[in-house]
Amino acid sequence: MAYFAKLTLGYKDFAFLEVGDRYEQDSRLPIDANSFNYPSAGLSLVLHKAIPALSESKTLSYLKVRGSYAKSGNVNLGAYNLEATYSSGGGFPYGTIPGYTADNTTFDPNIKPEFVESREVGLEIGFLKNRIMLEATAYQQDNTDQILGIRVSNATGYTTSLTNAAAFINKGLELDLRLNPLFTVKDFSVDLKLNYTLQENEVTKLYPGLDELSIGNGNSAIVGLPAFVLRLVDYKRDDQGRVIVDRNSGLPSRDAKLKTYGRTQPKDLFGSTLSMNYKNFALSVTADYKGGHYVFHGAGGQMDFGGQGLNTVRFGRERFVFPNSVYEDPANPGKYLQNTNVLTNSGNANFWTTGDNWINIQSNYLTSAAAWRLREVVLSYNVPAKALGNGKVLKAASISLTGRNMAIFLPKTNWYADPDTNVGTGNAQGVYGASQYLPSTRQMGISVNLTF
Amino acid sequence: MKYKKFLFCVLLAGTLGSSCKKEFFDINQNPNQAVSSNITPDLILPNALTVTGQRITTSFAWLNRWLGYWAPSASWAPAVEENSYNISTSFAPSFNMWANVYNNLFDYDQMEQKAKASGQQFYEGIAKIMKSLNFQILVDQFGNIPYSKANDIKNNLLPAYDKAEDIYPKLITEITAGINLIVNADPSKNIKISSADIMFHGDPVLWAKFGNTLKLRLLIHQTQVPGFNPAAEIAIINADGHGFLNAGQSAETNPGYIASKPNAYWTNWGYAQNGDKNNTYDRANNFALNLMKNLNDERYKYFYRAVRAGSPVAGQYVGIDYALINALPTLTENNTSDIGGNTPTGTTPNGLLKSPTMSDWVITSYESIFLQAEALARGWAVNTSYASAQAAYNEGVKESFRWLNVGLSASAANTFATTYLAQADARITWPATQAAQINVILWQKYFAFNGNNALETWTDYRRIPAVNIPLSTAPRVANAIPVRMQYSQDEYNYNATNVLAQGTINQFTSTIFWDR
Repeated sequence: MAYFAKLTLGYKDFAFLEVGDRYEQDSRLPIDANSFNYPSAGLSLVLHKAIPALSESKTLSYLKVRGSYAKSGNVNLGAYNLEATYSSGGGFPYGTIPGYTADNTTFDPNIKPEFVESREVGLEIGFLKNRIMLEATAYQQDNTDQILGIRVSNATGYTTSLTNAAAFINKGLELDLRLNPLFTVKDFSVDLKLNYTLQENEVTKLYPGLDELSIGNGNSAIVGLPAFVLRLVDYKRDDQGRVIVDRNSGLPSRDAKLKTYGRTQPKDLFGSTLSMNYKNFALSVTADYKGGHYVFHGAGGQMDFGGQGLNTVRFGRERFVFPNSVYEDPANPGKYLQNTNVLTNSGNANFWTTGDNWINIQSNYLTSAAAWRLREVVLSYNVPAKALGNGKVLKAASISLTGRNMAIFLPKTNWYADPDTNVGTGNAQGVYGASQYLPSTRQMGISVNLTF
Repeated sequence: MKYKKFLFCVLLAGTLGSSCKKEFFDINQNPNQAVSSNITPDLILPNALTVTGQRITTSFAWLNRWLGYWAPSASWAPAVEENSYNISTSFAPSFNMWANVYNNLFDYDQMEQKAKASGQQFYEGIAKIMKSLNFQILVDQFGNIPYSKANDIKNNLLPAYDKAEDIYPKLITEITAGINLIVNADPSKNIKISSADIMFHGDPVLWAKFGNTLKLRLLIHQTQVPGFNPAAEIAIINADGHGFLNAGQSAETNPGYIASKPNAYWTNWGYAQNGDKNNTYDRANNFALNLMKNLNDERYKYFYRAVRAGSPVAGQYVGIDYALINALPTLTENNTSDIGGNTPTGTTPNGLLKSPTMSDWVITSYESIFLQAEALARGWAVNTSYASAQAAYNEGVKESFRWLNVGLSASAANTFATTYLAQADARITWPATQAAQINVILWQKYFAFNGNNALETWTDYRRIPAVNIPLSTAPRVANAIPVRMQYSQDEYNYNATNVLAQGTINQFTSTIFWDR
């Protein structure tokens, strides 16, 4: 149940103030603390109307500054998410005998709603009758009391605890440039839209007593690092980062302690749309880039286990010196010697399929998740009115060819898959490679529009 | 005067709630599922006991293979991690063991709290004893584990580990407390105990015997710990006076298996409902099979099954060495012996695979008798039903034959056992010296535990290596059977500080405290 009030004030078409407040009561929260309140405010000034010197300018055609503050609350809970449940055990009931077992998720009976406080300032500026439009926005969001399912030790009796577990800050800068048109030559015109987003975030606080919090799928929140970072299995290494192998077998071994790798949310996003018009033809090309983040390819190990993986033929199926490896100096325990001659005891299936030699070492399947994509290409043609008999029956006709997902350009190390093809359907994109996935689909279509 | 243009708008959304009462929001009691606040002990116990029983019958297959009882058919892809002994933190059997035993422990813990709050002492006592059994199963595989800080997420989100040698005495104390609660319980207060207790149906005497037997197991495990003295604990067992599980008193769970909802051990290693053999992976291991054949031990026909019809060696008992891979194409599942014995559906129950409705054994009568034999051989002042260590030893062997129903009747089993025991062999004949007596008991435990108690066989082997178990024939990372399991990778992921405080775990050298 919610109460909501909003006030919008405008002054002379150039100053606008909007304030609002929302009060909610949510039955999913504990009965004694189920209400919360959140305000918002925004101010925008259309300066080229307000300042005569600007309104008379020939070059500057538009100038607006805006700022806003908003707080929003969210109850990221399902129904009955306050008390742990029990379910019937496997096979039960046997006859009339029931048998129940505690389920694996525990809830916080004192859970609070999660809040996001956003502050944003923006500038919109247009030149030459808005032929050049630039929009810049800077924002900061403080996320507090985020409700997350924390993975916990089995020894607690549960595997997941749903609680107010983390706080983090998102910061970002968005730039949007529109050149409309970029240039015109007789019947030929070209428009260009470019946008760039820099997004940065940092975990500021975690559940009391935790310095690191695992949210599953290899993703962790660690104070001071971006939300989220990959925590993966790696080899045992010496202090210079070289892989330690056994002096006799030449085999590396797994370090049970997880190591921290890069962020899983993109840092840089870039998008562009180029549109060209010539007489009745129009061509539009959209391309975008996401980068600065990493992906773990869960399918990599399965491909290597089955022998389809490229890794398995890296050394011609022969025994090999494990790259950048060392072994312990027998005369000097604790010191390591560069390995130049101890070969792995196998270079074929025995090596590659053994978990701790290769396929269980998740760091072997970590790559940059950067990708350039040719998102969409559309070519369309409007049939001239003349050819339609001047609209007696058929008023308009157009035909267009559309291609989506036309091309993807990945870093050379990522020969696995589109980094967006990933676990789940939600926000897990670019987070963690699924163990099996279908190639992304390329769609091509033709459409005909007729107006009678 | 400039005209000021105001745009004014007030939106009020939502219901006007002045008439709303607090009860409107009081809908957080889940109507679809049982929850912590309304679950009762009698709803938890049947499942908790069933899970414990199934764990003991079905979750130790890898140990049966390491310890010379079973071996994979040569037609399967090799399980390299297992047969090279190169086990990791994500080795499936121990990874799952960690998760599932703690899951089971939590149910007992919840039951204990509910029973205590409602004055149902019988349930509370059962919880204490069964928790101790499950913690023993964990300690014997992993050593130091979360014990005192376990099952308490509110105060211990990251449970610290207790030292294994500190946990053992606490388990014994808890069993004593559990026995006292049970024998002093008012049955009328313990709702549905006779149906919910699917092990002893509310019989306090059998629970007391079970508790004492479990204590004796914990004491015997510690025989090699320097300075270990069981006298005080033996005095408590003697004072209790209920004694131990004896012949015919195996602790077994059965929630009411029926042909259409059969026992999981039966379906995993035995037969599908249409009568087909379900398991083509685990075969007879040459080591145990040939030893028993050579010692005229009729039991091999009850631990293993004659090769199926259609094979050139049909009707014979054929084993395979552990981890032989494609070396001998004749050693496929069709040319080697299944495990579990000969019982087809509908005949007199015998062997390991007794029937689709068979119970899951938790502690067998013959294990209890062998424990008593070793205690007596060591001169411990324990009160038992047996006149001497040798009498207990003979009875243990006979009880193993009877439990398997060798010869399809108790009298036939006794005859086979007596003939067997009459043979002159260092692995059978009762010797004169204490060390040799313990050795022969361990040999007979090894034979009797075939396929049904591999964790105790492993513990005995680690404690006193009386039996010369052969190593895996596959390439190995060491010439020894591991002495422990690796902690679950989940602990390194979700409880890293505490598990890392246990140091680097080496499966060949990081011994459990009683392993000397």
